[in-house]
Amino acid sequence: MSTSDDESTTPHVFYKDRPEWQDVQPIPSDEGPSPVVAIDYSEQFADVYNYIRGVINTGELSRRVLSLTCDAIGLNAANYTVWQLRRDVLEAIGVPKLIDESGLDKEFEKEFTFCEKMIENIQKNYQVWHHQKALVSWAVGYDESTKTMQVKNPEALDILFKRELQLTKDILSYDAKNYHAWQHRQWILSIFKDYSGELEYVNQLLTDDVRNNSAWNQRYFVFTSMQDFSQESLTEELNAVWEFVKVALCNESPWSYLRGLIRLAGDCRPTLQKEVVARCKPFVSKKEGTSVPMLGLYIEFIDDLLRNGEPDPEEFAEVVCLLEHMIKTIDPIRAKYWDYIMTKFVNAHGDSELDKFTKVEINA
Amino acid sequence: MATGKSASCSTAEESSSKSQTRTNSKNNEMEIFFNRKWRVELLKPYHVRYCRHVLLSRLSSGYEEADTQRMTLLHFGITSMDILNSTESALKREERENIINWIYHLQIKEPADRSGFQGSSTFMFKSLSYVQNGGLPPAQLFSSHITMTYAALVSLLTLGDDLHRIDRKNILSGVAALQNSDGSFQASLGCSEKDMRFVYCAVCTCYMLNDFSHVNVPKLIEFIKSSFTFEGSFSSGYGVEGHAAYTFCAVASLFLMDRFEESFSENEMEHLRRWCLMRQEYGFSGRPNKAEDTCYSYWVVATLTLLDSVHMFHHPRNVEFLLGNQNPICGGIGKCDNEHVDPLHTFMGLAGLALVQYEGLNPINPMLTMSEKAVMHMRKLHLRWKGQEYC
Repeated sequence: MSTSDDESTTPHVFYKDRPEWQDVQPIPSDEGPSPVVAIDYSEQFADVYNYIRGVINTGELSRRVLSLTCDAIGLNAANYTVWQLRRDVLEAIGVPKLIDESGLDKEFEKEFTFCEKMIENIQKNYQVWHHQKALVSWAVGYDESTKTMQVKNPEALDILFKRELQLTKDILSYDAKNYHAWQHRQWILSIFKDYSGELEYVNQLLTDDVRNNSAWNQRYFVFTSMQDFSQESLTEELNAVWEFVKVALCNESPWSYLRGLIRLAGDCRPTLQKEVVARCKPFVSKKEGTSVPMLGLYIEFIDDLLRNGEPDPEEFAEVVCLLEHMIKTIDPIRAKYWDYIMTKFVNAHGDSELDKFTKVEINA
Repeated sequence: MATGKSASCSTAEESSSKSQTRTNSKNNEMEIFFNRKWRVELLKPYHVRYCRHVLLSRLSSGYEEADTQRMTLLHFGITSMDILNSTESALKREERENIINWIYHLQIKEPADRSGFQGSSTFMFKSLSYVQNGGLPPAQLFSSHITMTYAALVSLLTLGDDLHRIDRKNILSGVAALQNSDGSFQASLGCSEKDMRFVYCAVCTCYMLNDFSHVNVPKLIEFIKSSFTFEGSFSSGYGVEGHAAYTFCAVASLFLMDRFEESFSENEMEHLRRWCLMRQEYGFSGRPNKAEDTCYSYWVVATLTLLDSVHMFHHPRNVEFLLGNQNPICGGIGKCDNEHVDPLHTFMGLAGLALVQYEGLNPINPMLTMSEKAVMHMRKLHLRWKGQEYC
């Protein structure tokens, strides 16, 4: 089916020298009268693409075109038109078939293997992942507009679901932040509607590297998919995450996660914010408490609590002091930002806090 | 350095330069190299030379992987030259005309739903038997690509072209044909690849052609809003991790449609501002806990400029980072120190420096990613088009 396997053993023969291609008229690229940003194409590149143009021109969709696309993709995997031509051929010669409990059709399986190999070779190419998505869609009969699958057999679906999770897991083992792999994995989880094993995977990744922001994003993706934003559920998650927070206080990712998590809360939001503020307090006064993302969240939550609750002169004074500290010593590269936050904070609470101070003094 | 500038420029342009000039240039290069001058100053003539190389010489076969994106390489090269104020001084009139002609050579004028530009001549089927037989290859194998349409229009405007050879109405129909039911855009007809990059290119195209009536703006905004993350950034689409480039694409699109403020609460805007500012170490990273990279000094700083917060980060650190990524031998800027230079990072580095008003650079428009000079030219065309029927 593909020539890529043969290539390693046999020397490359130009298409123009292959007898079985003599019936196709090769077409050179039409560069126009004054080409710019010109590329010094290799002889092989020009040869393969002359024949690609040749077959597009005649509309041929055949097995030999499939192997031709393999060579063209090998030379430039970012050529989206060649990938599209490949899909046109696959459809025309009837390769894509729905999966059943015995697995993928043999020939279709080969196409999966081809794409998976390509993904492994060029992990950050948009087209390879896009092709894989198309293959999965064919295999389960996925309809994007209705978000439904034609295949209903759970055993058959399970084969593909596991295969795709394994593929993304393998790729993420090279680079745990590969954007394409994560995007594909999320798509798989959402169309198969099965998030049951994902939290365990996320925990494993966070144990490996607590600074993996992609894993934190995945945690949020999984948590929100469960649609349970009750105080119990949020508190349980806060407890679970806190273990990772403590490992590296300066790590921005978990603090962002906590902010996102608490934004999901309804009426219990102030309770959870107070809980986080209380948990931060012991660190804030210590040397290790000079974590910019932690202090940022701490200040933000106190600001929120003051806006929605009773004025508290002590907390007001603490935040002002912390902000001064941020500006001068902890985060001077963002001094102007913290200055801006200080102005906003004082404008929002300064008067009421001052009133209270005054009242306290008068009463005294 | 002042005399050296012209010397190194002339070696780039005229291979038959006099030996004296060559010696001066050589000395100058040595001085820059050994004194690590590139760390403290922008090597403008070197970058002009590099951009000329990208535009006009034959790029090595290593660029085959960028074959379908030659239009974007052109956009990076020509806009970089514009930032360096050298499109007229370093390109002869005839060379500029050749570039314009090449861009038009890649235009698909009809049918309307395929209209726009292609990225290279690899799949231009204008003169083939298909056309001669009165047909065309199927749309999925032969139509415009939204990123290339954007890059072509920016390049034409940058070169001062009056766009009289484009079919405005058809291009807008071509953009409309790419919009998906969720409001996002696909790159090219029949290609289901979709994300925030194509949204940005579609919005810019409508803006440059001064007409949003062909696309569904409310749906488009809905898609952008759905990509806002819990971190305060934007992603390629719902659920995916926030990323600085997608954040720029989303924010700039909303500004171009004048729909930013109404789309976000003050609280959300604060989250976005903080997320952007937290990206700075020296230069900027594209995601938390990832390395800094030249291109983010454009994506993030342009976003901060739109949020009126460009004064809130540390400019000298950013400039130092960008200058350190210059190549003091062949010109151009890499993604970080000691990395190969490429047209994208050269452009992003220069655009990033222009945003912080680095001395001697032409100002860049943070919404459209082209020079303010080109934007002025575009506005004149808009006035000229006013009241005119589409031609």
